[in-house]
Amino acid sequence: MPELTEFEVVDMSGNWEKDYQQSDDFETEFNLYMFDIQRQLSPQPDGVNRSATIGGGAATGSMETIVGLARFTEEITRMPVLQIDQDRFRIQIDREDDFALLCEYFNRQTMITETPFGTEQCSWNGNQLLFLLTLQDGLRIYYQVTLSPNGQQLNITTTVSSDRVSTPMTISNYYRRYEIPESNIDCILTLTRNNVCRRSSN
Amino acid sequence: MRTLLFLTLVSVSSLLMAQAEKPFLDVSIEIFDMNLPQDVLRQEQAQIYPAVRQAEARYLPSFLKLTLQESGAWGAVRLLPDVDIGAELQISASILNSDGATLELELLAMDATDRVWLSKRYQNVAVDSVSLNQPLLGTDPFLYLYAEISNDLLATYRTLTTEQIQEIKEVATLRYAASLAPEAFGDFLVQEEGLYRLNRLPADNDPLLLRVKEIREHEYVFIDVVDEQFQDFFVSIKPIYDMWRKYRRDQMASEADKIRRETQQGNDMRRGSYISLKESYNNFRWARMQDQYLDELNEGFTNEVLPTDITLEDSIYQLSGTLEEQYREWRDILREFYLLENAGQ
Repeated sequence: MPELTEFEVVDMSGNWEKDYQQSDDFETEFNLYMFDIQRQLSPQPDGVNRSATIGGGAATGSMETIVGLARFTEEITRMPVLQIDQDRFRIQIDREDDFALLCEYFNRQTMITETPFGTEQCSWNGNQLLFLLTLQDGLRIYYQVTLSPNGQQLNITTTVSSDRVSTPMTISNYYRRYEIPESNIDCILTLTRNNVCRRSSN
Repeated sequence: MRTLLFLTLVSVSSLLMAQAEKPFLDVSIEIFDMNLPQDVLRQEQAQIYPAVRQAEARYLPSFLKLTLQESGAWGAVRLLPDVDIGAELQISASILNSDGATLELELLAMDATDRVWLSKRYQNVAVDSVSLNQPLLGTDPFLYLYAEISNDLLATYRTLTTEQIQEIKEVATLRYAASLAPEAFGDFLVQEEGLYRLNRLPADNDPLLLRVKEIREHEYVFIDVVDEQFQDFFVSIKPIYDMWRKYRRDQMASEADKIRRETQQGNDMRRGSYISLKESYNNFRWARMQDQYLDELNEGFTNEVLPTDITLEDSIYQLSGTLEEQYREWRDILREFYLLENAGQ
């Protein structure tokens, strides 16, 4: 079992690489997604065409916005490797070429980070770490990060929604740990001295 | 782009070769003035981030130093935490604007006689496509600003005679000597019309002058240590700083582009499209990455204040505080050392 912190939060720290075999295949998910959309658009047995549910009733749930949402979802869920640093008070999920998902938790309270371009909320739900990005133009991205009971697998389920498409798209990715050879040199970054390093005491 | 810069520097070097008999001048560059508004609200309004500006005050002169070294036209080019009292050519600058897209500096270059070489405002717009093979010089978006400064300095250098250059070097030594022992060296120089002139010269074998030169060498030891630190800082911070500037540029371009598109197409036309989603995400992404870069820069500054050990005449001195404080402390030690050594002479 993963070690629990003082606040009984699971320890997700480590280096993680995407497990492509277990992760959702985007093409498959996209087809299922389109099938679901089509089903909603098709006339139902009661004779009601539910196309009005797409695009907030303005019939603007167009192919452009649906495909746009899917394409966008595919891009932000690639994340081939993750590096997670965690201590008793914060967790930081570093992603390649993207900002780090950062959560500071005190007694499991929700943390909200505001910027002029949107907000990022995070909280724990049991052993699941949640991030919700509420961005401009009705875009919302919801990440659910879950560690497997044996601590060797991480799941990130990403749900992307737009106020122009009634059906959100969800992609589930799995990650497995990988180890970087440990160094016995401790370094700290300084501005004028670059990395100041010393040999570990152990 | 590469050819342009290469030619610029080569043409300058060619001109220098024609005047090869002139002695080289050493250049001392003081870290730049941050020009940081005291009022936090004004900093926010001007979108000035203190941690970034603090880094820029060291990063930008480091790049200028590299540019001057690359030109091959100067003697030693040193970057210092403070004004160099014995500088042959002193360069100081204040950062007027640095937002990733535009860099604007107020630059002052004076030689040891107090002759003003340059007192000029330099402004340059970022050029993304600059790419040279040289890894350090090749990727700065404001390469041409530094090249312009370098060329302006050389243009002034070319107007001076060999005798004038020699006088600058001698005045520099004597000003440094006078700062250590004003009573012994104060009357070697006179000021005429705001410029220092040689009144008389000490003998080459003057023991006091020889001692001053030794002390100067000791000061160089510290400067070299500091210089190495600045160089390390420059190399380590360059990738993150380049990225930060690029994001700032992209962010500004994106905002301008969005306003333009919205004006042309109406606000709702592309809402929900891939472009629109991508833009919303990128705006947020830039804002968060910028915050995170700032945190990293801040962390770097927090860790920076480590002591420096310097050996002087079999004694080890540990200097503490910021680099600026350490430099002042070291100069005080050298001055005391000189006075002790020469007491009674």
